[in-house]
Amino acid sequence: MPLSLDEALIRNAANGGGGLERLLAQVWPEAYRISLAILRDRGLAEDAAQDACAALARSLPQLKTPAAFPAWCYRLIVNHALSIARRRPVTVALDAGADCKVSFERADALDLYDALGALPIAQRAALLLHYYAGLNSAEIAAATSLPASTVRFHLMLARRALRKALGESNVHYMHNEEIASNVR
Amino acid sequence: MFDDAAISTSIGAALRNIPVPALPFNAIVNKMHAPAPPSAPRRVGYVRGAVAAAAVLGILAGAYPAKSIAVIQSLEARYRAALQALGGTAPPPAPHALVKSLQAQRVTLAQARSGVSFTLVAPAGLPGDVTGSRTELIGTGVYVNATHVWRKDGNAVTFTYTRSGGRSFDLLADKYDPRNGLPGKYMFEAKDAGPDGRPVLVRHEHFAWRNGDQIMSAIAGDGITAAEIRKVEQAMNGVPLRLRDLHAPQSGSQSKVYLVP
Repeated sequence: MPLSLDEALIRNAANGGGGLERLLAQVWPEAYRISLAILRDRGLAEDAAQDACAALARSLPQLKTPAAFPAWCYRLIVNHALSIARRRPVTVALDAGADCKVSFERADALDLYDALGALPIAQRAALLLHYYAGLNSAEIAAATSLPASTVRFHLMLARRALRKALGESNVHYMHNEEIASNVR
Repeated sequence: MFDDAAISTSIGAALRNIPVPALPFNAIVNKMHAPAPPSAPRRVGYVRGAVAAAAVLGILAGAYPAKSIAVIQSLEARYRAALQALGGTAPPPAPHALVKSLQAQRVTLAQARSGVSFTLVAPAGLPGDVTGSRTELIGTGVYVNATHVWRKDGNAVTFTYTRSGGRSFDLLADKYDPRNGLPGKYMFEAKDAGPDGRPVLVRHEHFAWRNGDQIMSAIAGDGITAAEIRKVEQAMNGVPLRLRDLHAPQSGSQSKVYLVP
């Protein structure tokens, strides 16, 4: 899980000890990047990331275990991004490409980012929560209000789509048992 | 081979390449203190996860009355674990004195009607294989987050039905209170922790509908299917309630739980 924070910092921020800005400084890049990967729009991503950070700051005193912070934080981020996507479907105008494009130093990273963008939004969110945030299918199900079986299905479809988009030749289609063992 | 590890690495690399604007701390703080939009309920919805627990508890308590408090604590612990895993916060355990005061009482329909503060509408359109029923008046407790105090609330009624195959299901009737916000679309039940120490969550579809000032709710599961619940709702001419997509209770001023000692 990329978000690894000092528990003392989380406790300090939760107790109103002045650590909130330092905590948000570490959460913000994650919130923005994940929101952008889901929403593909800089303005919407910034809104979603701000909403998620505000909700996090509001609810932080109720978090009893700092160890639960990363998973909880990723759930908040993805839910706010999905919420914005539901309220305002992301549409890209023909001349508005600049707002969703991201520059990458490596071509393969750009390919992957584009492949991610081609996925339906639910698959995109599931893929990010699993492969980036490290949540298992039950946690993703809880975060997205989808059945765990649906999450596993989304992940399977997303993997197939990624492999196809990235020209993976050694594609093999997994059976349910295999999915279950791969995605706990 | 484009395996799981490769996907994780590639996604991590792709996301880390995204340039990030500076932290808009002031904007976040403003949003943090901004009032919630009017459409968002400010008060927490009923904590229906406890309803399923209450139903189980009623059955267990009947068989093992001496163990009822221990059973309550065990179910509460599971319920709290589920909420925590979902990012919510359960109220603190109810005081034993309150739990003891929440007596469940087997009653007739007429007695149930006289024991509640709302117009009780009995279930209709039940599955054809129902073989028995039990009506109970149950006490409810409310935890007010603003004051951090548990208090006793009005009575609710559970209708427990047995059916073929040893199955059973419950319908819960309570006073409708719009201040409690929208009920959740799903209920999560925490099973024992998995190998990673986290509770295994089982999701159940939740239904709620209104008849006048009554709200009736049911949880789909082994005892009754979602389609069968919808038939009950239609036969009662109930008005379906819009349900929250969010699984965890929102932070708010009040949580309501149902405890059946």
